[in-house]
Amino acid sequence: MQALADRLREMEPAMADLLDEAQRGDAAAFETLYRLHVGRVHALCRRLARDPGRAEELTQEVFLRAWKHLGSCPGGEALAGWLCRMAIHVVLSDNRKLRRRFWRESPPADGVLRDRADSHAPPGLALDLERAIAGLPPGARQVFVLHDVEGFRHEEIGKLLGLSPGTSKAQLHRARRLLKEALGS
Amino acid sequence: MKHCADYEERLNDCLDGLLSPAERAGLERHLEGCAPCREFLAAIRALREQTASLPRSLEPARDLWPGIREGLPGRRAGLPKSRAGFPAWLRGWGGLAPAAASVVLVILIAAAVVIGLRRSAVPPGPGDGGLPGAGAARVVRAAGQEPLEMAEAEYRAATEKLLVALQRERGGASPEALKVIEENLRIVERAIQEIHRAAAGHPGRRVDERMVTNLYRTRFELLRQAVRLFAREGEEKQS
Repeated sequence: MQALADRLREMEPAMADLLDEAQRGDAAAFETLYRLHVGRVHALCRRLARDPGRAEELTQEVFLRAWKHLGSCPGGEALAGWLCRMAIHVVLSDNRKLRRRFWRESPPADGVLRDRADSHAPPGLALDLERAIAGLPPGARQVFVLHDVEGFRHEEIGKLLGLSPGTSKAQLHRARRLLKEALGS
Repeated sequence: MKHCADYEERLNDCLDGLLSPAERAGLERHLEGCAPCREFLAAIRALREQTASLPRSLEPARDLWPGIREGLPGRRAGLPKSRAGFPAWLRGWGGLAPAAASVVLVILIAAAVVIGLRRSAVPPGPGDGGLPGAGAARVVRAAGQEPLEMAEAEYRAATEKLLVALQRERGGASPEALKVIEENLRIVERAIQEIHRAAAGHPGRRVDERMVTNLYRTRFELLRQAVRLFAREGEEKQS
């Protein structure tokens, strides 16, 4: 593992230089950062926003905001986390706008999970799980994605979603129960 | 039969390692006599493991960069078009800039892979290994391994051909350029090996298949550019 640590230390200057270039307005450097992180950001938008087309628009919005606020971006490993948090805020803000416009997101009733045809879903065994996650009610889906997929703690999720940690836990348990039923396990 | 509703929260908390030793002991006693709760715990544990094996990175179906670039206000302009794609500290490398930039990208991708590897560590069920039902429904993590191995084999076969071409064209390269390319190829190869070694040494960890594939793809591109560069230098020498 020492070699791995050495390798990471060797890589940090290259990453820092790239971020520094982007912070000074170099769009090419920012493009490289985009290409390195777009998969992570898009995965988060996709799972939180559910709709593939909307997820792509939100991913673009995240990187546009990132460019605008790049001056406050921490370097190194923190960059990925900074982008992910920005993605969460962008998606949740968009969800709130949608809810205001349509009153609510028309969630399916508990236990009735919609099978959303999606040609861009990841192939293989994960497909059923991805579909089942997409079919969760919005609150349960957001907490499940943030806790079980992204690894956030209930206290952090509570702050991000404006919930108490107890409510976050309850939503997580509900999501797991619904997914278990949906997957027939 | 359905699990006991009163125990659902404790079963989830057990899975998440949130129970005190006393609470855990109480749950263990309950599980010894309650098959539905044991099954529920095994099922949500399997769900968590399956969730942990989901890809952390999903590439969008189309390239979103052109739309983003259009929307960037105040981006720096004025760099020569042919060199604008490389960081300032690479622009002095002249003809080697494309290859060098690829190496930087490879290194950055490797960093992201390694970082992703560290972050995607799936902690063993916190303290739940001794509970009844523990491990009863382990999901085999090798679900994504086969396509990755196939992709690796394909890239290795393709790069073998390029390595042969590189040997053929190396006569056209300047010693300095050859040294840079060979050193960077060694760096890339070491990065790939270290990622696999790190993953092999920690069975609970996984590698993002798409990022590993990107690493191979970039290695392939580096070789392709090197062959083209050396061939061009050879032609210039002859003319």
